[in-house]
Parts: sequence; structure tokens; C-alpha cells
Amino acid sequence: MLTFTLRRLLLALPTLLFISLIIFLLVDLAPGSPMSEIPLTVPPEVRKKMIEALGADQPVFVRYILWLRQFFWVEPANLIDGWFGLNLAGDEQRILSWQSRSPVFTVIGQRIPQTLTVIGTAYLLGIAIAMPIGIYSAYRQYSVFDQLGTLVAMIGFSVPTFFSGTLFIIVFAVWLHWFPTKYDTTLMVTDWPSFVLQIKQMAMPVMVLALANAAAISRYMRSSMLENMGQDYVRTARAKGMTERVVVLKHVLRNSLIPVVTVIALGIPSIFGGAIITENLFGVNGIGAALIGAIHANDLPMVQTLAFIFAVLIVVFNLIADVLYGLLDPRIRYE
Amino acid sequence: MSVKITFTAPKPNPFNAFVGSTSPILQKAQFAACTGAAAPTCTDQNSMPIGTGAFKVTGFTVNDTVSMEANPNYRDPAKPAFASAVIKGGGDAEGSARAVMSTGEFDYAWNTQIPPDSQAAMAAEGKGVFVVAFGTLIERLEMNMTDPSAEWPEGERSTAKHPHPFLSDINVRKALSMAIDRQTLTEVGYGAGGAPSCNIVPAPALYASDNTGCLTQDIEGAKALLEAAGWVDTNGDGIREKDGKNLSILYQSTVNPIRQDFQALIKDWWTEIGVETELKAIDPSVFFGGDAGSPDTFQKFYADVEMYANNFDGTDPEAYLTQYKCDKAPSPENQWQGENMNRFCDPAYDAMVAELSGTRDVAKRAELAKKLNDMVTKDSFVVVPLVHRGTLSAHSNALGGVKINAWDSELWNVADWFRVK
Repeated sequence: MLTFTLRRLLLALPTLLFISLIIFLLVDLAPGSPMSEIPLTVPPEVRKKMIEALGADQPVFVRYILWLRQFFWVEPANLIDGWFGLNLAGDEQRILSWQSRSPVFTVIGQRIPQTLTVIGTAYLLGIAIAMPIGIYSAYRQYSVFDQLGTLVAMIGFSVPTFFSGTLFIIVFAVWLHWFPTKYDTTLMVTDWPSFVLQIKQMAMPVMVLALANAAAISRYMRSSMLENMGQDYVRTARAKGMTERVVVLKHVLRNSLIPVVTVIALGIPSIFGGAIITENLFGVNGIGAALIGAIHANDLPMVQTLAFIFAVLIVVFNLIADVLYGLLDPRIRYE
Repeated sequence: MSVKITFTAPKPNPFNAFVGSTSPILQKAQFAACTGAAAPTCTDQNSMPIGTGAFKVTGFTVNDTVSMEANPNYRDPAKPAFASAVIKGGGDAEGSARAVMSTGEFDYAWNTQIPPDSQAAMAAEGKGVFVVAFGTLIERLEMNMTDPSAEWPEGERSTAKHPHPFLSDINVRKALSMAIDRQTLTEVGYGAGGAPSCNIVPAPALYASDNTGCLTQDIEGAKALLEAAGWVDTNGDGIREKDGKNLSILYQSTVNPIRQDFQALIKDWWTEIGVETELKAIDPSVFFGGDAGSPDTFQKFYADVEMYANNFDGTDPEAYLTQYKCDKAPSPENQWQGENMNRFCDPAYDAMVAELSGTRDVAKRAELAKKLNDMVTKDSFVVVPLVHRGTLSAHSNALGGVKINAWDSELWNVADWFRVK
């Protein structure tokens, strides 16, 4: 297991470097330029100077090598400086976003709390809803509950988040006035009333995303459970006199969890990039919204850094999923 | 305390220093290390500038929130009426309008460019009002005076080397303009937030030419004009031609629902008068990106007609009208960075622009500006203005003192805003 992990990690490094080069070239070669964000009233000579100041007119490979150096040396040095109060990075140029001229990692740092709180909670809530639904649907296959569960899952799959989000806004905010439509990122949770406010403003985006997440996971849970319910060991357990509760929740569930846990682990990177529409709709300033905004503005450093971070997350969580699978299922042996 | 400004050359219109949000006063101590090439690196100074306004910035998260509190050193101790202010960014126009007009979470939403029926529905809820102010933003069609045909090699397409096969004929351009019903376009696209226009300089009133001839649609007149000019449909395919050249237009604009509606309507009208029209929509970041390597920028203009909106800063149109000089045409020599998109070239125009830059008397300037405006619009139809677009914003009924201003930032008088009791 250890050699397997180490080998995967070593292989990941050239893969990630290659991915970073591909992303950089793709975004760079795509048409469009950050000049589109500058108003038309600015004369061409000034626009040229602005582009030069950004460093956007340098050749591709110069910019790529510079970015590599900034990402792998300057930014971690800045991070260590921030934690331990040292001065490793000094005055070195950080990766600056072309839209806002602030360091890309500052923007990421501003957005991580919201991403984890709202999108992360939605993911956890989605899992929490999906598992019982999946388990009971499989246990009572073809019952009314199962049919209802299938219906809810189909709705969750097929209805896009911009539709369900807008619907929730109209029902819960415009008609019922229960929840606010815009997420207030300046809200500090210090006491009970502010905590209630935080729950209220999280309610709608979390509901929208949890519905979408739960749909997928409940189907995986259900099919995995169904596969295992028919196995011989279940019959043996029942013959031994175990209660239904023990049979289902101890024996069948544990075996069924294996594929589901790996699916959940693979879905974690999507917390960071996948909720773009919901984030835009509710004004939750998450990382997905930052990425789409940067793409529209041709903000190359931001797009490159964020896309690379997603690539790293996906590679890491793929590895975690594989390792988990090996740990949970003793039949699997990696060389 | 007085400030002395020394200009490098005679400047007929000196009235743009310290006026409005585009020429702010920066604190020397704060920005001392941030001039010239160091300017982009000063993020803290740029995000939280120290100024003389009614509010000062206490927090700034990119593309998200600006938190402000009342400036304790503001010159009027009784103002502003609010202790704090928050600007929330992101989202779309519909969501912003809803946050003011339907749910009452916010007091002011700016640039709420939503379709007219949504405007009506939200206004009917009674929580807020829409306010509109007209500046100088004109949505217009630019007619390409050069040939964008792909048969010419790169570097010769859309340059003065090859004049346009049919748009060089003023009758064709005039007919295309006559076929358009600007009133319908405005109603469909902007509702209260727009007005039909025939001028590219619609405001201030001093500089606005008395030019209303294009406001009524005249399909029959357009057809007659084309017939008389020799553009007839000889082979019955519905498309007019002359000397073997078909009236076939590639009409491009950006991806934007309102612009796509306009394109569809205009295509219908042009088809009616016998002009074949193909539509193209380009992503705004590419269209406006100015990337010399991309064929889809509005400077390259590899199409016959393009539609977009433009305006000018401040109240003097001189810099704006200078854009249509011969040497401002985008071409390979200037890396396609010019502003004269339609490659209009008239020595008389250039001469009049030179005259304008030397004229000090305001009344005389106004006269020259009007003449220049007419030269590109009703005298030559190289620019076909469509809609004078206003800034449409929404504010709640509980917010008083709002006087929307198209010439400055919408927060220009935020010190005077108050809570309505």
C-alpha cells in the first residue's frame, strides 16, 4: 500500500506539470484579451500601457516559467511568512490577478471560507440525505418510498441549479420572505442571533446544491445496496438469527459503502469548482464564481492558478479514493 | 488653498480636472510609492484609498463586497445620514433588481438592465422605483467602408486598399438605415431605459444636432431608393444585385440577449427590402479584446456591419469625434488598434476636427461638433445610430435624495441620501 501510494504520488508530479502547461497554452491561445475589460473611453495608447504594466504582452514561455516560479517558490514562501512571521519571500512579485491587481492567493483566501461553509455544508447535507434514502429504497425495493426516492433523484438530476435556485428564491424569498436572496459575506457569527442569520442566508444555496448532490449519491447507494442484499452472506446472517437492523446496517451497509465512499471522495474537488451557477445566483463569493469571472475577463494568472489547483485537488482525491478503496476492501491488493 | 494646473499645450476644454469620479484627488502620502510602473502593485492603497468623500473604505473583497463607514473627517458634520454602507457585487441584473424591488434587502441597485416587462412587474410591487438618466451611450451600427471579403489575403482584408463593393454606395447605406424601426427596437430592448436616436453625440443638449429624420421607418422609401440606384433583383431570388454584386451582409455583434433580439428584427427588415443578412454573435471578451491575432475583434471588422455601444467621458465630445479621422482606422500598421472602426475617411472631416481642437468659444465648438456629428450620421450614413441608452437603476422607496446622474458615478451625491421616514 505504501509503495503504491508513493509511486502514485511520484507519477502525479510530471502529470500535474504537463496539465499546467496544457492549461496555460489553451487559455493563452484562446481568442480574447484582458483589454476587453477596459472601457472604450480609454484611448488606445493608454490601453497599451496598461497591458504592458500587467505583463500581458510578454511571450508565452517567459510568462509560463515566471508563473511556475511564482507558484512553487514565491507563494509557498509567502504562506510560510504569514504563518511564522519570517521574511523568506521578501519583495518578490507574487501572482497578481489582472482584474484586480491583488495577489491571486489573497482572493482565494478571501473565498475559501465561503466555499467550505456553504458548498461544503451542501455536500455533507447531500450525503446525509442521500444515504438513508438509498438504504431504505434498496431495502424496500419497489415500495412507495422507493418510487418517491427515484422521483426525487430524477428531479435532482434533471433540474438545473439555475432553475431550482430561481424557483427557491421566488418561493422562499419573494413570496414567503423567509430567507435573504443575497449572501452577506461580512456577517460575523458572534452570538445566537447572528448564527440564526447565517443559517438563514445559507439555507437556499445549501438546499439547491444538496438536492443536486443527494440525487446522484442516493442512486449509487441504492444500487450498491441492492447488489449486496441478494448475496449469500445476508441469507446466512438472517439464518443465524440476526435482527434485520443488524443485517442491513452492519453487514450489508458496510460492504455497500465501498463504492459509495470512493464516489464521494472523487466528488470533493467539485466543491471548489462545481457550484458556479449557484454561487453567482446567491452572491456567495466562492472559488467557482472567481474562476468563471476570471475566464470571462481573460484574467490569465487567475485562471491558470485556479485551474491548476483544481487539477491538484482532483489528482490528490483520486489517490485518496483509490487508497480508501484498498483500505476498506480487504480483497483489493495493490502492488 | 488653490491649485495651479499647467497644461502642455493649448486646451480649449480644460474643465475636466477634479470633476467627477474619473479625475480623483489622491493623497500624496498614501500614493507616494505608487506612481508610474509601481501603480499596479499597490493593492492596499488602490482598494482602500484615503479621500475626502462621505464614506471611507474599511474592507474590500475582490468582486464581492466593499464595506464602508462614514468618514469622520467629512467636511459637513451633519452628513452623511448613514453610519455605514455596503456595496455587494456580482450576480446578474435580474437578481440585483429583485433584491431592491421585490425583497427589499438592498436600497439601491445599479445598472438593472432587465427587459421592459420585468421592469413593469417589479415596479408594480410598490417597494421601489426605477430611475433612468441619459448620458452619451449610443447603440449603433457601423458600416464597413472597406471590403472584408476572405478572398483578400490577411493584411488587405478590411483595409483601405479595397473599398467595400456595395456599402461604398451611400444609397445602400441610407436604405439600410431607413428600413429600421428604432421605436420598436427601443421598446423591445430597453423600455424606459432607452430612447431612439439618430445622433452619435446625443448629449449634452448643447452638442446635440437637430437630427430626427431617421426616427420613422420607411420600408417603401428604402426599396424605391435601391431601385433608383440600380440595385434590382434580376434573378428572382429575393436579393438585390448590381454589376454582379449581391447585397449580402454579414452582421456581427456580441453575445447578449438584447443584441440578438435587435439582430433578428433588423435582419427581418433588411430581408424585406431585398438585402440578404447573415447574423454572427461573438463573445464580448473576444469582440472587445483587441487581440491582434483574433479575426473576431471589432477593430478587425471582418464583417459588413457591426453593432455595439460607445460613449465618451465628460461633457465634451472632441476626443470622441476625433475617433473618425482617416489615420485612426485600424490596420496592420497599427496592430489593428485604431478607433475608426468603419474606416471612414473624409479630408473635410479631418480638417474640421483640427479646427475644433483649436476653437475656444463654446458656442462655436458646439456648432462644429454638430456638423461633425451630421457628417458621419445623416450626411453619409457610415454610422447608423439606433438607441440612446440610459443608465437604468433601481432604488427602494425608503431611500431618499437619489438624483441619478449619467455624467458621473451613480454615488455622486451619496452624502445627501437619507432614510425616508
